[in-house]
Amino acid sequence: MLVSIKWLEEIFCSRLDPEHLKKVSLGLGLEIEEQVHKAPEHIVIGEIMEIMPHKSMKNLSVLKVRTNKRLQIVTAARNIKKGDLVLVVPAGKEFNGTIIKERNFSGTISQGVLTSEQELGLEEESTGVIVLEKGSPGKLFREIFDDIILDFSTFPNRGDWLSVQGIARELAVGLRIKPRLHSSNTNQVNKTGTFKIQINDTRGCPRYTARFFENVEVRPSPFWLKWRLHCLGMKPINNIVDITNLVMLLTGQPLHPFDLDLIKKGIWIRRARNGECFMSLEGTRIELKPEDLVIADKQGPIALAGIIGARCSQISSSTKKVLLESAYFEPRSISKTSRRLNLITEASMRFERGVDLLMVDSASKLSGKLFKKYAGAKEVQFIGLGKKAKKQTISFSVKRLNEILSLNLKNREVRTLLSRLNIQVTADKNRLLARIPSYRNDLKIAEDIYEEVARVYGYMKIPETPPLRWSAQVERNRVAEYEDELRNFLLGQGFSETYNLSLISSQRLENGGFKKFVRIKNPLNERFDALRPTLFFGLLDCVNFNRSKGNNSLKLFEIGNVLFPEAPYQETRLGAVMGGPRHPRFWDKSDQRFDYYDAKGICEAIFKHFHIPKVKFQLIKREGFNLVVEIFISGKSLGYLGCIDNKLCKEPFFYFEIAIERLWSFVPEPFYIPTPKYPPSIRDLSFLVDDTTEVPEIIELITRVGGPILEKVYLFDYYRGDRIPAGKKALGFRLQFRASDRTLTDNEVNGFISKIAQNVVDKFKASLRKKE
Amino acid sequence: MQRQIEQLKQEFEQVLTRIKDPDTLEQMRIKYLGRKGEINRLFKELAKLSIEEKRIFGNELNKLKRILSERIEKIRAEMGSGPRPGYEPLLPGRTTHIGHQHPLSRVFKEITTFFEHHGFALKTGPEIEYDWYNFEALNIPKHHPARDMFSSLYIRKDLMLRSHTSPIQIRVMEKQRPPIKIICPGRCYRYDPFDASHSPVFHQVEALYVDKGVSFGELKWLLKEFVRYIFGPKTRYELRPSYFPFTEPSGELAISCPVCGGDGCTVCGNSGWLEMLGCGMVHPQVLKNVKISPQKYTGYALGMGVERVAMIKYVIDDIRILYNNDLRFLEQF
Repeated sequence: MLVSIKWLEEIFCSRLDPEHLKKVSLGLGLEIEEQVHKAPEHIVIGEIMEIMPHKSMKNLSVLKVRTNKRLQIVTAARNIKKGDLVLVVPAGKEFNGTIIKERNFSGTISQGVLTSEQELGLEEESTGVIVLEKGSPGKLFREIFDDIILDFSTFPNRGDWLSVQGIARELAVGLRIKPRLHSSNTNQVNKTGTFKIQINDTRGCPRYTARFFENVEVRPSPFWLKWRLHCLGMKPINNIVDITNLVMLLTGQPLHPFDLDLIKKGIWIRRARNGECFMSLEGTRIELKPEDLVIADKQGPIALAGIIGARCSQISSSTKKVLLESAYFEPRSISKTSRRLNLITEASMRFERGVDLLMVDSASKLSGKLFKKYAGAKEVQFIGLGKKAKKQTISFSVKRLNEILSLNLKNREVRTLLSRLNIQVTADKNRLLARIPSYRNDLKIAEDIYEEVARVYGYMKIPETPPLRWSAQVERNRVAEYEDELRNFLLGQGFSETYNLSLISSQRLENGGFKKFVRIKNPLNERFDALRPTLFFGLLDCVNFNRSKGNNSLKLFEIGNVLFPEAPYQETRLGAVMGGPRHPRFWDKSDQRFDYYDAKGICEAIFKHFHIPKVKFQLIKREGFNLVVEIFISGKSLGYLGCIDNKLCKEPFFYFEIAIERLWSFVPEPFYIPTPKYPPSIRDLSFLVDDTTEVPEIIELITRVGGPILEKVYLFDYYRGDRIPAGKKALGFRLQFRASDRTLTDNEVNGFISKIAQNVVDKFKASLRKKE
Repeated sequence: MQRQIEQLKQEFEQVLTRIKDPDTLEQMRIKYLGRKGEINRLFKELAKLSIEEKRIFGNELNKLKRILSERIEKIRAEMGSGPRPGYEPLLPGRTTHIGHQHPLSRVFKEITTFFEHHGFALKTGPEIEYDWYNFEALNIPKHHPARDMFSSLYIRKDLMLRSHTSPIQIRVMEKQRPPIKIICPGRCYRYDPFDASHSPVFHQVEALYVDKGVSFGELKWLLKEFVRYIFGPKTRYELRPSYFPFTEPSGELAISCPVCGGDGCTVCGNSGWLEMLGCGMVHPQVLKNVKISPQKYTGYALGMGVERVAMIKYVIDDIRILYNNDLRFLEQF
């Protein structure tokens, strides 16, 4: 809400300091977001003392102008006469970013320029210079007219803050100055005539008033009014429209003037009919629905109630009779329609937050006064329909208030605090009754009153109270603990953590082979029109971005949610990527790069870290990868690991993604097994097998045959090459046997070894290699 | 046998003189004393001899074995365990990757740790949320202008991306009866452009405490402690009236700018203060919506943007920096 300090000063009859205002308003929750100077600094008011034609240049006049000095000004303006008050920029001063220079017009010196509405930004094009109705020559423009404009950030529940009076009332609480406000008390009796007005929907429109004017002269507004509206972000149009806007800014009550001669046989406030439509003031065609409230005449809608008027009945220069509407429209209905049509206007913003029911009649009356003053209008009739405001009361308890606010206020103190907000308190046994001013429709329940008390008392004066109790059991969040543990594990392994947006382009997902993913109904743009079903693309972008910045050696991860179009809608995953030199910037140039086995090692280490047994890998195919394996735990697929296709990343980078949310159910709680007392017996077995034989299968067989005394088996040697036949590979396994209750004898172990060797040879068509 | 023992002894002495580094020493040890070494070979040969000879030469061999081990250990000790000749100890060591925690994750942890110390239990909730949890239950009816405070992204008519973490408090309060004391971190979404000061994806942490007799003063005490814990004892705070549909009274916490100490700088826009978080007493309607009696119980709630905290703490002027994961940025944490 834009408010002019000058206007506030008129209301408070006092000079105001913006810095002080800022502090005071912030303490009440009313924040000044911005403060700007609107008035050009150096414009001064001047009186034309003399007009003479220029000696040689026909279209120019030479003026003697009195400001605080006497200036000679050469001008092309025609709309001036002796005695007029004009706005002067003296030579040597800055205006609109340039320094005005003294100029010589064929021997006649001009010591300044006169300003036009165009130059002040009021009009697109102006024909003459500004002539003021009144003013004191020599005074600076900014001393007389609006200059400092404050932008107050308002809350959606405070409709009253969308008015200069409302802001002034709020500031008065902190400033401790009484504002002179336009009274909302009118007791006007209907002066009925033949014009028919009917409210068909009293829920949508609890009160409707129409004020009728004749002999209206529609013309441009006086300069001060145009300037004020301009400063407060509204476009000046004509005196009638400008006055209604000015009154709306002051009181918060939107008003709508109709050209009475263009209204056919009366006004009905009703819901729109199916298929009805109308042309707005701005010239857009609006299709209506039966939920929309309209103001209609016999022929159809002449306004979308509380939002925008129709072109067919708008005020024009030929308007002679005016019907001024002032009404109360139900907030929800206005909000619904204006949001559906995406038509947020100054009026709709105020109605949807709730206007002051008491102000409906009096804002119209004030407008009437100004119509008379600035448009020569004669008020002939007034019709007011529907209910008038009732005083609302809220019952509250001071005991409860003190409990909630940690205060110890007496009834009397509460009463005084609330009276500063014009809330009157009466006692009713143990409880108090607060009478709410009609403009405070945000106050509905006792807690609202407590907030008001706290606000006026001062939030900062409320004591910091340490809690007096310890509250209940704290539940343990295992998932969060595991996630933290995993994060720390990866950080320790040298992986840096990344955060990527969950929004992604659907095109990219489709290109990547994804079919089922969540699409956004109202996307910001094509880049962000879907939700990630994988963490891959985010991490891929991280790799390519960092490589472009010269970081070639990378280990990155993200722990985050991926999203699905159906329940359970989301899943927490780990994505990790690595590649590039293993020891970047190291002087020993053996140029080792991270390879597939590094990535697989990290992946396996994660499972080992969490003591998850029975992890299996299986070769699969996957879009965007070559050499990719799927990860299984107890037969359930939990993710994949692979080398990123070089179409996506030029250097070999390795990626794995694990659905950690499903992983945690496999994590056992550690328990202690006594460390071995007896020595192990270690044997090596070497086989020559077909190239296609998979090592995990051999290890599985060895483990099975080895039985409980086979403590450990691992591949310790792997060879493929010239020294053995083509199509074969040599594998060396180290087996560690141990019994928990005795030292194993050679014979015992040998028995197992030959049994294992035989099994492997038979099952995999392997041959046992003799040790050299 | 005697001859063999003598021979071995001499051979060993000769070899020893040539040993220069620990590796060859180890090779020697294996050659003579290893499982298949010279000494063991001789021990095997003992089997062929008579009982008397076994006794004599057995003793001899054991003696030799002892001498050899002692000699090797002595030389090993003399060599010390230092680097081999040719090593330049002052060269830089082999580089290794260092994992850097993302600042958002760091701030998340700091915030949740504070609240967990104060007895709040960690809870999470879904990112795809129903309109009821995100809005209606939080006292934000359809078509209410307050919805403008949360410009949202939708998936279907009633299904949306949560625009704050407050739906978690509704989900918890639906299932649990007071006392409820929870801290809820999470990812949120808004219909916002991705520019220096906005991100369509961001993170929040929300705290809720509902019990008998919970007061605004207790909330203020917790906020004071929070500011001290996160921003240090020099940071001052201000609590200002505010508006949220789900709290009444509502407040907004501002902290004195940690960069300029409150004197005014570009970070705080010369005001000396930075808005930090929204808070207030849980609105009675919200409690009613989850069937908790507002007559019996009161509660406070507070919520803050994690990005905002991180940007203030680390003086980051563009929110996008948090999402482009530039290693040169991450390395600073």
